Amino acid sequence: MDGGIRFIFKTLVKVPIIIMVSFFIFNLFSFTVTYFRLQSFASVVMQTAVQNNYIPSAEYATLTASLQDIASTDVIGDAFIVTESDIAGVPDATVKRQYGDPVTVGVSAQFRFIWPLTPRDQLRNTDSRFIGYGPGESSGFSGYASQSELERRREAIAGNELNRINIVYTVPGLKYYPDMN
Amino acid sequence: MTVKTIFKILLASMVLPVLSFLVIEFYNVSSVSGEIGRLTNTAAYQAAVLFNQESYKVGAGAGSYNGLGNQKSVVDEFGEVYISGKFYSGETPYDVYKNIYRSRDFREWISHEVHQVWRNIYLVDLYLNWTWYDDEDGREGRFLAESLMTPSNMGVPYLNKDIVSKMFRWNLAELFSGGKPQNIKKDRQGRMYSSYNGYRVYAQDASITNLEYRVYDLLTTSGRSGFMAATNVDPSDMIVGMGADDERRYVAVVGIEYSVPMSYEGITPIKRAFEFVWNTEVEGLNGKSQRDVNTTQVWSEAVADFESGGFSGNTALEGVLPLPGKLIYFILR
Repeated sequence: MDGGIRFIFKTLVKVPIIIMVSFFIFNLFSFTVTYFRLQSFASVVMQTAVQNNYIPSAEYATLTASLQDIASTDVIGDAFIVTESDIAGVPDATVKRQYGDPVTVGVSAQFRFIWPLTPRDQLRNTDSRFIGYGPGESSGFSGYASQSELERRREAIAGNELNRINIVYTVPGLKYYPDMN
Repeated sequence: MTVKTIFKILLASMVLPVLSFLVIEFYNVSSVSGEIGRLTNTAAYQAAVLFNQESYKVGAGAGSYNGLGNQKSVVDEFGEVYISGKFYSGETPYDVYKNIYRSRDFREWISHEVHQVWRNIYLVDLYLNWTWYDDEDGREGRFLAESLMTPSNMGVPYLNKDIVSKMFRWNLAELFSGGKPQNIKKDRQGRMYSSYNGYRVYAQDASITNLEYRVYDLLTTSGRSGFMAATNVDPSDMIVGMGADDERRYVAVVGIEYSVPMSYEGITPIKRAFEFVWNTEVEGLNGKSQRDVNTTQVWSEAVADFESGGFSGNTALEGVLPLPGKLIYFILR
């Protein structure tokens, strides 16, 4: 009997741990693949900027379409080509400039971690304490979170700015434009 | 916690960071090396394009940092010049022009018979280098020279090795420092380099190592196939309506070979980890009670920096490995 209870408890502990570890490995894998793809893409954007001194509109459209293809997975959201610099005096990367002038380009994308499914979640008590904590706390139970509330919570985690991948380069333009004297 | 567990934890605390460093370094080398290869190729190609765009012709004060197609020098954070931006020498466009087309480099280039198939280039050489201006050819050559007529105006890709090398070095220095002086550093020998994602790029020692010119006659089958093999451009449409006396039948292609010295210093403290292990001995090992500096291997920065010539043991520049590359450049009319 003791062994049976121990087995049940071990299983109870093991199942969520296995789920969490599986999701961790999956997220690690998907993050690595995503990062590689974005880095390769950012390198192409940078190469375009080096060769033209800026991102011409035709190239910008092509690159944007390619980025949308890369971002068409659930783990990438809000992906865009970085064209603005935080360096004073450096204009937007879509503005033509002369040989040697710096240009800042790159890619930015929100990485959205995949979380284990949670069928229901408790709402917090008004006093921020958990159900059953201390005597007489059952009266503070406020019910379970709705589907939309759960969605909002996941969205808040997935949309965390810390999860944003930014790969940005500042490079010189290496094309001479005789018409820009 | 047993003694075995303690030793396991101790071992893991050493092995895991080192393995993590190795994984990060492996990823960094494999991703950045390709990027560096592409960027150096772009730097060489754009140098060839810039030279043939003849930016010095716009004159002083226009189109560049200090006129005549020159650029501002690339400096480190203390203001020390790393790569000069002065590509051309001369006070006026005509001075620069004469310096280029009276140079030994150009005279050697034009001395090859094959480059004299373009009559106008021959006339320019006749006037500038043979001071020939008494007859019709001389007067025509003088007119062309005073109009600053160059081989590239005639669709021939002549590249002055010295000037293109200067442009190549400037491009490399700017590219790999990202335009930031703090990315330009000095190694232990005092040589300056651009620090780029764990790589040291010695732009000042980069050079165009060889320029190989080939001229193809597009009116011959062998010429067309040779041109197509070199450039991957099918010339069939270009020869429509082209007569035997048409100079455009000859197309010059230049193969550019370059070399960029660089070494790898890493982005993790793995070098420090190896240094620590290398320099650490267990007391009592081999019956010794203390470290014997005469017989013990001591970590050498010289070895770590490949100062004996890297893996091949044979490099032109001590301490670094060259990254060689090739590209094809041509002008179509």
